[in-house]
Order: sequence, then structure tokens, then C-alpha cells
Amino acid sequence: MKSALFGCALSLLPGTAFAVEPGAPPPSFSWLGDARAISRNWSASRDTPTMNLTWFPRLTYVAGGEFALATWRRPRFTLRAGFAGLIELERDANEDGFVGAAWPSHDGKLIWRGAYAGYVAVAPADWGKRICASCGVEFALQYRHESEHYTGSNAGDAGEDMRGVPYVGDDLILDAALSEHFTDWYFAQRAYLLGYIPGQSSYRAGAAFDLHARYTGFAGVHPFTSVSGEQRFGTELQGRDFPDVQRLRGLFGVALPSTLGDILVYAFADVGNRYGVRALSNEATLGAGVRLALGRQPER
Amino acid sequence: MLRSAWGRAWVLLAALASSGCVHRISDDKSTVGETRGECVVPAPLGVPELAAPVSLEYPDASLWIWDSLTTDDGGVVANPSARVASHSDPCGRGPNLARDAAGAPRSLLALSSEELADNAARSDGRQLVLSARGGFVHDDVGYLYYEHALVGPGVFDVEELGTGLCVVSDPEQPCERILKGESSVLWAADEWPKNQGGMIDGERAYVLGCRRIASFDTPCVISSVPLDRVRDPSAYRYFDAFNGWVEAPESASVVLNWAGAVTLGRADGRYVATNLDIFDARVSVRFAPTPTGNFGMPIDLFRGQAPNEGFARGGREHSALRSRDRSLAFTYFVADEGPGHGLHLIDFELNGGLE
Repeated sequence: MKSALFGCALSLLPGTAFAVEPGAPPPSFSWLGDARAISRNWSASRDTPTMNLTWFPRLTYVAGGEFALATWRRPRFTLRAGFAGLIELERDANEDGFVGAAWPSHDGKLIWRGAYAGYVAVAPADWGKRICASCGVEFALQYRHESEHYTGSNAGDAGEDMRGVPYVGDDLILDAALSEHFTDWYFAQRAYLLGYIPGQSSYRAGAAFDLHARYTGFAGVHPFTSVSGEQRFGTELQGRDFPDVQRLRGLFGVALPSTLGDILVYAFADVGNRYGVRALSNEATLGAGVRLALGRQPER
Repeated sequence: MLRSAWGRAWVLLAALASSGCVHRISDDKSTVGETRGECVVPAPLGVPELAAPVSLEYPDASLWIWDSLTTDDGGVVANPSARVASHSDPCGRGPNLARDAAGAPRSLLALSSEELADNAARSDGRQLVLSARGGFVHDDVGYLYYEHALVGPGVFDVEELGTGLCVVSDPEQPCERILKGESSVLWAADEWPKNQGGMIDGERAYVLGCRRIASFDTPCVISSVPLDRVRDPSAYRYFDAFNGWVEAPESASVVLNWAGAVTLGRADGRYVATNLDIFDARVSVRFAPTPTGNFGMPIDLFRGQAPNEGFARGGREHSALRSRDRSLAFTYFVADEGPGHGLHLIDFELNGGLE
């Protein structure tokens, strides 16, 4: 009975299809697909939910992903509803200069943060075309939660007091993205507005941007660069006045494209506040990493 | 691609990045409050340098008391004092030392003529020394606890004799040392000292005492006495977490264990214990719902000038010098030569509602 009702409900979705023949046009409704019409997995931000590894200057590894759980394609727009999540572990080191050992110290102490988000994204079919023939546009609203942590030492060292560190907590994020092709180049830009739930975060508001450019003239290798920046405005939480946070980060490397997405091999440079429980520190770093970025650039 | 300028720049950047380096720019200021003022207190006329004082906190002033001060002519004055009226008072011209008729710094806590004669007659290289440790003020009368010790002949040779009490009726005059029989040692050396000052709450005084039992292991207990029996050592009781106030020193409960000076007080509507970390000059506070314990985890307030050698010194909090309702005022001493050397006075304002 329940399955009958469920099937009946799905039948109300026009043109629903659950299996796709190779070469067939995209179904009007599908489960589990590309997270966005304009991928944000090329973003230089460390908040990007991907599978990511950086060796230098500190070892960080991210297990994350973003997927559309449901995609509904209509002639005038495409609507996606999805989920994103990540866990980032970072070796803690405060040294000025070269951080000698990329691998975690034997005591096992790591700082880490976890985040999850639910979102809806809409990509109007014609809005981009009003700007240029190859342009695409997308808007999204997401609810995101992030918490910051550290693991204690396996050697039994004294723990740290985490009451005074910034707490991202809960926020609503509105973003707008634009992409375009220009000869052999592909560009994607995205702007974010962030609003934090009062009493649930050490920030009150913020704004951010992502810029991405890649050269697609080579079949199997796309040189690319991505730049992201953000400003978060601090607020009072549990009697502590948290400062504003600024970050600017650039990636420079090559994307190895596939039908699923890209392998990004990159160098990076960043300046501004650290992440997680060390967000009260400001520094500039140079490093290198690799990322599995799901999501293709839109067809021309 | 690598032949182009862009390509070469990219390879250079990739090589730099893969070397992986960190350049620390700064650490943001404290999130729990703000330093409203800081000065290095100038030494007063005739004194080359000021160490960190202990104090008695009057309603309108803090009475700073030093172990000893060396004067410009090489003389040593034991336990001199100075009345400091506000947090900005000593920053311009230095504290105004209590002086005798000849203008020389006067001892607030002084050896008796018999003790001075005994010291002069000693041939073992040892001298009786009195060291003020702080206390509390009630009805404009100060109660100053101090330690007796035989010091010498070596630099590190010290024999603790016990704790005494001196009553300060007039800060410009030597205080009155209370005697038990013929001795001013009211609490023996094997009892808990009363060396970290005290506070008043209701009809009782609470006095904090810490004893070093091993390197950097300094447990502290609280003793208490009704205000009308402060001069009577038999009226003092120790706080025992299980049985309340008890007479036996060995039954006292350890309420804090901090290396470095601890000050008990009230701030932001709660009881507080403040501490200077002797290793990195970090000042922290713990809140408690009662004056006797259940102190929470330390909350870092600010970091002073960390010592390059040795330990940070001083660290007492002076409630009379607080500039605002939620302020705390600290002194500590930077021994390293160079910028910042000397006695620092810091006015730090807490945010409200700290958890």
C-alpha cells in the first residue's frame, strides 16, 4: 500500500524518469546528480565540500561532497535540492617558516571541523542567455552548520580550553553564480551573502566570492586558477567578543577533466585568519595539494 | 606552455608553494575583554627600581607593599609601602612612598628593636626577615599577613618560621604586629601560610594561602575568620569541602593549584581567583559561585611580556584600582633588560556574562 502511494505521488511529477538511456536527453526528474548547474567545487575556499588533500605547509585532509539529491528540470529552469558535508582534519603547527613534518606528530593531536548543509538551487534557463550566448546563471539558498574541534593527544597531554575560540555554528547562505565560455576559456564567478543565527555563532554576517578561470584548449589538461575571499563580521557569544575574520586564497594548477569532474593538482597561496579552532590567528602560507572535484563545467 | 612568461611564473610559484611555509602575522586580541590601559610604573625619587608589590585594598586606594626596596645610596628598606589612589595615579610620577621625617622610605612592617639587636648579634650568617604577603581591609583597618624567615648564609638558604599578622591603622605609620604570648609567629610553619591576600564576604574574612610542595606544584587552601575575631589565631578555620570549616590544617581542602600569584576577589557579580602564569606572563581568571571553591576552568585574559629568562614575577590583582565595574587591575614585573623592563600596571575590562 505504501509503495503504491509513493509511486502514485512520484507519478505527479511530469515526465518523471528513473533510468537514463545513454545519449538520451536528461530526464525531467532524477535522483542524485550534479550538485549545481555551475559547480562550486573549483572554489579556492577551504569550505568547499570535496575530497581534498594538502601536504604543505600543514597536512590537511578533507572528506566531503556535495550532491543534488533531487533534480527537477523544467523548460524555464532547473531546480535542485541537495546536501553537502565535510570533515577537515588539520595537523596543528604554529611555526614561522617551513613546517618540517607534513605528517601528523606521533601524539595524534589534530584540529578538525565538521560541516553539513542542505540547499536548494535554481538555474533559470534563459537568464544567462540574456547576458551572453554561453552564459549560465544559478541562485542557491543553503542552511549550513559548522563546528570546530580538536582531538586530544594520545600521549595524555593536558587538554586545551576551547571556550574562547570562534564558533561558526548555524548560518543561512544565499549565493548567485555566473559562468561563461570565451574562446577556449571558461569562467565561473559566485558571490555569497551569509547570515548567522543569533546566539548560535560567533559571527553575525558575512560575504564571500569565488572566481574560477580555466583554459580548455588542451584536451586532457586544463590549466586553471581560482581565487576566493571572505569577510565575516564577529559578534558576542557567551560573553566573548569575537573579531572579524578575513581570508583570501588562490589556487594555481591543472585540472584533469573527466565526465565526473576534475582532479585538481594545485599550488596555493593564502593570507588571513586560519580556520577552525585557530581562527584567531592570522598568517600567510604557501602550499600544495590535490582535490577531486565532482561536477562538470556547463556545455557550451 | 613552459616557454611563456606565464608558464615560467606558474612553475616558480608551484615550486615555492610545494616548499610549504607559514608566516605568522598576528594573533587577534582577547575575546573575553580588552586592555584599557597599561603603563610601566616609574620608580619614585631615590629608588632605582620597583619590583612587584603585594597590597591591601582599601575602598579608595590600594596600599602597595614591597618585600624590600634598594635606594639610590645602596641602602635597603624592608617592607616599604605606597598609597595608590587610582589605576592612572602611579603611571606618571611613580607611587608616592610613605617616608619618614628625613624623607627616606619608611617600613610599614618593621622588625622590633629586640629583633634588630638579635640580627646584629648573630654570627651564623643568618638574619630574621619579615615579608608582607597581603591581606584585607575592614572598616578602614588593614590586616596584613606576613611570613617570618631566617635567611642566609647562602643566597638560597631560607628557613620558614611561620605566619604573623600586622594591623595597619595608619598606612603612614608602621603596623602593629600581633603577638601570641611573646611571639609574633601566630601560625607555625607546618600550618598553611596566609600568603596570597584575602577578601571580606558578609561577616567573615577569607584568606588564601598557598604552599609550594614540589616544583611548580603549589596547592592553595582558604582559611576564614569572623571579622570581630581577626586578631585571634585560634578563631581561624580551614575550608574542608566535606565538613565545612575545620580547625585541623591537614583537613583543609585544596581549592586551587597554580604556580604564580593568586588573588581572591569579586568581579562581575561573582567570586574570582586570578593568576599570573610564571612561564609566559599570561593572566587568567576563574569564576566561582562561592568564595570557598568550585572554581571553574581558567579563562585567559591577556598575555603580558613573557620573560626571556627566569619567571614572570608579581601578578597581584588590585581591586581598588579597577577603572570600571567589570575591570581588573594587575601589576607584574618584567625583569628582562630592554623595552618593557620594570613594573607594569594593567587595567583590563571583562565582557559581561562570561561563561
